[in-house]
Amino acid sequence: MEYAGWPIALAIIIVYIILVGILGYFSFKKLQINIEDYFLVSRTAGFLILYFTIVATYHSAYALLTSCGVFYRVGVFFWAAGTWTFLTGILTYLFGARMWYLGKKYGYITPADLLADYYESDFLRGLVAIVLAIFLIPYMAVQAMGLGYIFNVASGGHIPYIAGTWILLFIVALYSMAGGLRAVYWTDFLQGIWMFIAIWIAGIFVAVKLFGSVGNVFHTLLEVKPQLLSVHVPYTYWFSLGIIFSFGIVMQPHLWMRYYTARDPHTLKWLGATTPIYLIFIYVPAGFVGLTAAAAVAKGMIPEIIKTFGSQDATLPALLTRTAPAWFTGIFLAGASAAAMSTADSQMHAFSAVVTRDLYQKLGKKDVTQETLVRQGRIWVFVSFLLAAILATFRPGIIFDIVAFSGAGALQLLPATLGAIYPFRFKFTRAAIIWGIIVGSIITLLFTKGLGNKLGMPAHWLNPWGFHGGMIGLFVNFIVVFILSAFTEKPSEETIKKFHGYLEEMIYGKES
Amino acid sequence: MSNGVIKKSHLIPRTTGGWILLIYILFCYLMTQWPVLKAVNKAVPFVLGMPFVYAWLTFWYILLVIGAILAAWKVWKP
Repeated sequence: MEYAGWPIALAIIIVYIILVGILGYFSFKKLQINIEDYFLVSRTAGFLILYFTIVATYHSAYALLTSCGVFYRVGVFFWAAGTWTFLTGILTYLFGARMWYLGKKYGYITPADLLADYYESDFLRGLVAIVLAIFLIPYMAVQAMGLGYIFNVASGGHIPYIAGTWILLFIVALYSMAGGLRAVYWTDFLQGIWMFIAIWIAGIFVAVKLFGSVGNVFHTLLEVKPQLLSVHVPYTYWFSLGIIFSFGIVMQPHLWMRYYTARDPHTLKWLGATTPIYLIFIYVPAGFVGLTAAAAVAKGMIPEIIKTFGSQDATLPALLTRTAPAWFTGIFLAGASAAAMSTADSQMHAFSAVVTRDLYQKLGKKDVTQETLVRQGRIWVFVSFLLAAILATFRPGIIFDIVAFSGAGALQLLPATLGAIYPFRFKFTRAAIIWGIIVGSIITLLFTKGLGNKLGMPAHWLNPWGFHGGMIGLFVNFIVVFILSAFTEKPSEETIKKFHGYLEEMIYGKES
Repeated sequence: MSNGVIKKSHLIPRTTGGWILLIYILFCYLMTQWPVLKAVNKAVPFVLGMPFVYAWLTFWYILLVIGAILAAWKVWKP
């Protein structure tokens, strides 16, 4: 895996990381010492900054590394991404605006703040916080893995995977600890623009360089590997991913908390309408990269990627280091680093918010100063860095499967969230929601390929009928919630009015 | 609305525009799922230089994006 241009490529990536660090430093200078500013930028985020932080946070190492890798290995199946990214975009309005109204009115910071208040349960607060934190850790590890692959390949193997993982994630942790969410937003703004331009230029560049045009890539594949040009996964799996990667990821704290930070609901409405454009169409050039790599390997122009680099996730850096000038490779791999860093910082921050707010401050009943809370927040950012880096060191699987697992876990909060923010005649109850989350999470753990195998589940029970384990978990979760809600105590009239009455008034006006 | 009980569900559209939008989005989305996907799941003929199923999905994704923009413009509140 020798790469002659590695000093130049690596130097450019390092310059980019220093640039991000400088932005983080300036955010630190603007930080006010209070929990709303540290965790929610005082709820003042406007359209442009929120646009780029939402899209950059959603599109992680997964978007720029894994998508290219999945296109490379499985072909156009990954264009299913359009279904889940569209849903994710419009949920910014359909869920986000409602979360914003309630968050602003009642001072919510985390997802558990809202759910525990509606279902009137501190136990639920702890359960939600623990489920979110547990399922977020592997997702953070994914970003660290992506950074490790990029540094390893860009340095021609001179920087080991583990060193890249730890060093880059530590830098992310440093600016997240110092500058709070403001640092995350400013760096996401830069990274969101950079990664979109980078992947489009890289996608067109590799296709034109190796085959003359994108059309020729498709024609070559039709000749040498036609199976990559149609979908070869169960349609039930396709459908599952559409739900998990949209509703599941939106339930995670790093996206949910972004909705609280908006300046007003009007901003969220237009984000809901326009973020699908970015979210969907970043995968077009990723397809160019992955499919060009597949055609090039089939034609013997480059070595087989998984055998050479150890993972399909190395497709983009592998192709660039073999086809592009070093300076070009450096700039575009900096874009891929941007994707990983912009999600990692948001996730570390969200993990810290969940633990500090829900477990330390609320459940621990701590009556402490704002300075103490911000200090706690910083400590938990550092803890999240350690957990993610340790897990990434062991490479627990391919990025695609880990992200799906993480989203599937958070998806179990969907019934609880619907019950709280979407008024309808039938009311979900505290007991039903608690049991639904517990049962749904356990089923997700047991029936998902990968972890289910390790827990000793028979192979034919995993991803039953082609559905992802998380979808089975959600299905059973809903059944439990509907049945138990019929027999257990509903939230008080006062609470229902506080939530549903307020949403009715805000969305449809007082007259309805 | 009285005593916190909402007479009309928030899951169901309350305007004609809302209904049209819901049906439009659902229809476009279903065009990307089984069984339609199974029927169009083939590489040839190429459309605009793209494999058939890839072009099919791209077409419906563009219509979905247009639907979201129309929704924000005409239907979604505030």
